[in-house]
Amino acid sequence: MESTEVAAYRKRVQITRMIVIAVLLIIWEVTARAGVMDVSWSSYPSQIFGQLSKWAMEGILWVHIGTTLNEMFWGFLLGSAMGIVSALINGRAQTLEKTLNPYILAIYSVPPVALAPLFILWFGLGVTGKIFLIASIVFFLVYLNTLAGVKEVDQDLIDSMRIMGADEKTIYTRVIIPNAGIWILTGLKQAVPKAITGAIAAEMMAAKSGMGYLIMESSSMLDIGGVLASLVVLLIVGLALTELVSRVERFLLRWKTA
Amino acid sequence: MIDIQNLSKVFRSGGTTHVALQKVNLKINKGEFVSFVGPSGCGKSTLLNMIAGLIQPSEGSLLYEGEPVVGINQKVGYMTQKDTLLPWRTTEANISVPLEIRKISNAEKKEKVMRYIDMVNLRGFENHYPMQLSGGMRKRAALARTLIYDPDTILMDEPFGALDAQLKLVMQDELLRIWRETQKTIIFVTHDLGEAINLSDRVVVFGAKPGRIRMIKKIDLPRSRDVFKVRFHPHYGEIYEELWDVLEQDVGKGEVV
Repeated sequence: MESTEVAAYRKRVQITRMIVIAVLLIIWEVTARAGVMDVSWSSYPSQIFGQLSKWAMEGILWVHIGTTLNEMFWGFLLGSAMGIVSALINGRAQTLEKTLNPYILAIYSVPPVALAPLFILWFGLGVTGKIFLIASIVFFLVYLNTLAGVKEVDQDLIDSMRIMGADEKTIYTRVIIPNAGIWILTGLKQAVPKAITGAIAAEMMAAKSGMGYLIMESSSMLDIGGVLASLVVLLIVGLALTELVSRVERFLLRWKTA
Repeated sequence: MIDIQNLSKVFRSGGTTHVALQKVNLKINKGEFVSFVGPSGCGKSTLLNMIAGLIQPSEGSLLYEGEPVVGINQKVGYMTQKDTLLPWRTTEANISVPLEIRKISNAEKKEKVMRYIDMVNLRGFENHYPMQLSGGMRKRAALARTLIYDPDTILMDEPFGALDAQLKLVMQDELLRIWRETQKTIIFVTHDLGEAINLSDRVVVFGAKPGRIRMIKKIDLPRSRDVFKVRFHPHYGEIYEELWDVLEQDVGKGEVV
C-alpha cells in the first residue's frame, strides 16, 4: 500500500493536470470569441461541445460509434481467435512454423492502412470489409506474440508435468496456453491502437457509416468543429478500449504481482 | 527395486565428448533413503534423470522394479532444485495437478489436497500464488504435489539447496517425518555432506571427471533421527570424516560444501 505522502503527491499531480487542461481550454474559448483566432480554422471548445451534443441527441453519434465498435469487436474476435489457434499449432510444429514464418513476416511488414483499399474492393463499402481488415491487423500481432509465448515456455515445467503423468493434451491446456496468456494479452494490447487506425482509415476511404466516415463528412463540409468533435470521440473510445484491455490484463495476471 | 548395472552416459556435442557417468553399479532397495553426494559435474543429477526416464543410458542397464525404463517413468515423483509450480495457480490448485491428470472427482480431490496441505504444514496458504510464498513454502508445496499421487519412489535434486541453514534443518526434519509415515523409497541428491548423513540409510559418494561412484557407505546412526541433534552422536564425527576423505579427492575439481 502506498504511503499517504505518495498518495497526496499523486493527487496533486492529477489536479495540476486538470487545471492545465482547463486553463488551455479557457484560453482557447476566449481568444476564439474575441476574434483573435480564425475559428474556421481552429474551432473552439463550446462549438465542439455543441456539435457533440447535437449529434448525441439526434442519435447520429451513437450510430457511428456503434458501427466502428461493431467492426472492431468482430474483427478483434476473428483476428485473435485465428492468431491464437495458428500460433498454438505452429509453436509446437517446428517445420511448419519455419516454413510459414518468412511469408507471415513479409505480409506483416505491409502497413495495414495500405491494405484497406484491397478489402474495400473485395467486400464493398459495408462493415464486412472493415471487419476482415481489422481481423487481419489483429491476427498478425496476436499470432506473433502468442508464438513467442508458446516457444518460451520453460522446459522444466513441461518435464515435471510429464513425470506427474500428463499427456500432450494436458500439457497444452494446463501449461502452454496459460503460459502464453501473458503474451496473448500483450498482443491484444498492441493490436487495439492499430485496429482503430485500420478501421478509421478504411471508413475514411469508403464507407456508409462509422467514426471515420463522420470525420470525412465533416471535413468535406469544411466543418472544423465536426472534425474535431469526431476526433474527441475517437480519443475517448481509444482510451476506453485500452483501459478495458488493461483491466482485463490486470485481473488475469493477478498472480504475477501478488 | 532399482537395479543399476554397468551404467554409462556420454554426452556428445559439436565434437566434444563428455563422460557424465562411467560404469555405475548400484542397487536401491524399497523403502530405503539413499543420498547421492558429490561435486558439481559428477553425474548425480544425470543419474536421477535416468531413473526418471528423462535421459536414456548410453551403455549398461537401469531396471526399475525389474523393467527397463522406457520413456518418462511415471512411477516416480521428482522434486527439482528449481520448483516447478505453475505460477498462475494457487497452492491448492498446484497441488491438485496430479489428481486432475488422473481425473479424480472434485470432492475427493479437495479432501485429499487439504490433507496433504496439512501434511506439509501449509494450512492457511492454500489460496496464495507461488509469488506470494517464501522459498521454503514453495518447496513444501512442491513436496505435497509430489507425494499426492503416491509414487513409490521420490527423487529429490538438491531440494533444500536454496534455503538458509535453519530452514534446511526444519525441512529435513519434516522430510524424515513424512518418510516414516509414507515409507517411500527416497533418492536424495545434495552437495551437503552433513545433510546426506542426517537423512540417509546409505550415502553414495560420486567423483567427477569422469562421473563415477567412489564409495557407498551405510550410515550407522539410529533411527529415528533428530536432525537438530544427530551431529552430536559419538559416531557422527568418524562417519563424516570417512566420507569427507573420499569427497576431498574432488575438491578443486568442483564445488563441495
